[in-house]
Amino acid sequence: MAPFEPKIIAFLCNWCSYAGADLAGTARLQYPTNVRIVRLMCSGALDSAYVVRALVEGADGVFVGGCHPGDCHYLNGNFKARRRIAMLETILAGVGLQPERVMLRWISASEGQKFAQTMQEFTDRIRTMGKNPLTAKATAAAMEVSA
Amino acid sequence: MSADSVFYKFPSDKPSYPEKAADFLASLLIKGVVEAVAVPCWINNAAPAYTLATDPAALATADPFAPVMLRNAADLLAELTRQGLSRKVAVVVRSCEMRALFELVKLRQARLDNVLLIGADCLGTVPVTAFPGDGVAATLRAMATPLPAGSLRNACQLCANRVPPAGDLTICALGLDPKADLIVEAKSEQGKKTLETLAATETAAPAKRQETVDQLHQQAEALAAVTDTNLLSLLGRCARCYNCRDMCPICYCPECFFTSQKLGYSSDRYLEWAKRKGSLAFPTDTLLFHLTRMNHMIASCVGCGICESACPNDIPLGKIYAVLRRQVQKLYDYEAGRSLEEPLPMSVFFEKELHQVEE
Repeated sequence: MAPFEPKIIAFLCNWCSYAGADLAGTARLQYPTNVRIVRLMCSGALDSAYVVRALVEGADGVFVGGCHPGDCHYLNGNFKARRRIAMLETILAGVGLQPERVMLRWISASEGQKFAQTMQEFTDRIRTMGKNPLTAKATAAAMEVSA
Repeated sequence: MSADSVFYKFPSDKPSYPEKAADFLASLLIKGVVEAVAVPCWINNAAPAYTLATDPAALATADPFAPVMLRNAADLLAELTRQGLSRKVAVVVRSCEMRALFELVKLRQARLDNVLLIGADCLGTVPVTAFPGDGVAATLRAMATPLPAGSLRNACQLCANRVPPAGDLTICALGLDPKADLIVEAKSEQGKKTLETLAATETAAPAKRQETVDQLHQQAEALAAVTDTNLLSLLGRCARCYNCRDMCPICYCPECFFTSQKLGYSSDRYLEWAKRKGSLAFPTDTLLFHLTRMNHMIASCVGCGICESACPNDIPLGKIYAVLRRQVQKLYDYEAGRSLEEPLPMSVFFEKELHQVEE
């Protein structure tokens, strides 16, 4: 049986973290192919519903990337994102899910190296944590989430 | 109760405490302090109906302490006050209703112009299905002998806010002798003036009230610390009726995320998913609904537990929300409904905060 390869969804803000990811690409920095990127204009535009949805639909990890505090292209979107992700992680922990499957990090447009390293770090973490239990048949039988 | 709380005795010849409270409210109309009073009334004995009365006689069955509630009146009051009242109305609410109302005011769904806001101590409520259906007799029993914690709705067992946070007046009841005179606390200048207009006289703070309230709050916090909030095991019987959302006083969105086109799937998508996953159980997105609703409104959740009361399949949502709201609101040093001035957690932010979330 093939070893478990996590599926990571990364929500990246257009101006900083996505540009950082792009820089990793142009600099030919290797990072895990487990990551699937979704570009948004701002981390503050990310409704927690989409992070939850990724987890519920089988993503093993969800990464949220934004500009460093003070550098948000829209001034304060990342501050809102930080408050939302704090809330989301508290809720996940409270209801019996794993908040460690969600990661928030600030990555600027010039931090291509940091992006690649972060993706490696997060993928390794999720690989150690194992498959998202929400997609395990046992949990699915208890709820409507299908395997 | 702050150091400058002023308590008043309202003279009434009515025989029971709830009737004295009703008499007090009727006087507001008779003396022309307000043009209408909104308060739960025993229209029939099965459950009190939140009633808007302009005739003092209609308030004969008013009962602010009824140990049962069909819904949280805050959303009804938002409906009433959305465009602002042009005439003075007294609004009588229990703590969770006042707190939800404050959140709705901050969410720009309700307005307090021309409102004389009267809170009432809450004796706790039992589930509607367990209520004996004997109207005010139940209130009299609950005043004589406090309702056993185990008989209350989960949210009431977990409630550490039995006394309304603010407003103009609070009609006291906790720890009081049911044969005593009606005791009303003035919470604002307007409240004080109202009591003086009604010839109420200043009196000492009721002896056992603070102690009774503190004990109830301690019990609630102790219970919250050991309550299991694992949601996953409970959702198997969720039918996605959306009652919890519809009855929640805070959920006000005319178009909810869940009934919008954001989650409107075509038949081809369903078939593809069923093919990819092997099978697809309907309705889809149940866990997504609950987690998203929680993320969307828990910052303003007052723990009233009406979500649980509304659930046709007895999912103990009230228990889960009552505990998780504490954890979430603590992140921002916030308590929903504690104050009208305190900004909503998602409308403010600080440059340096929540560093534990940044990795």
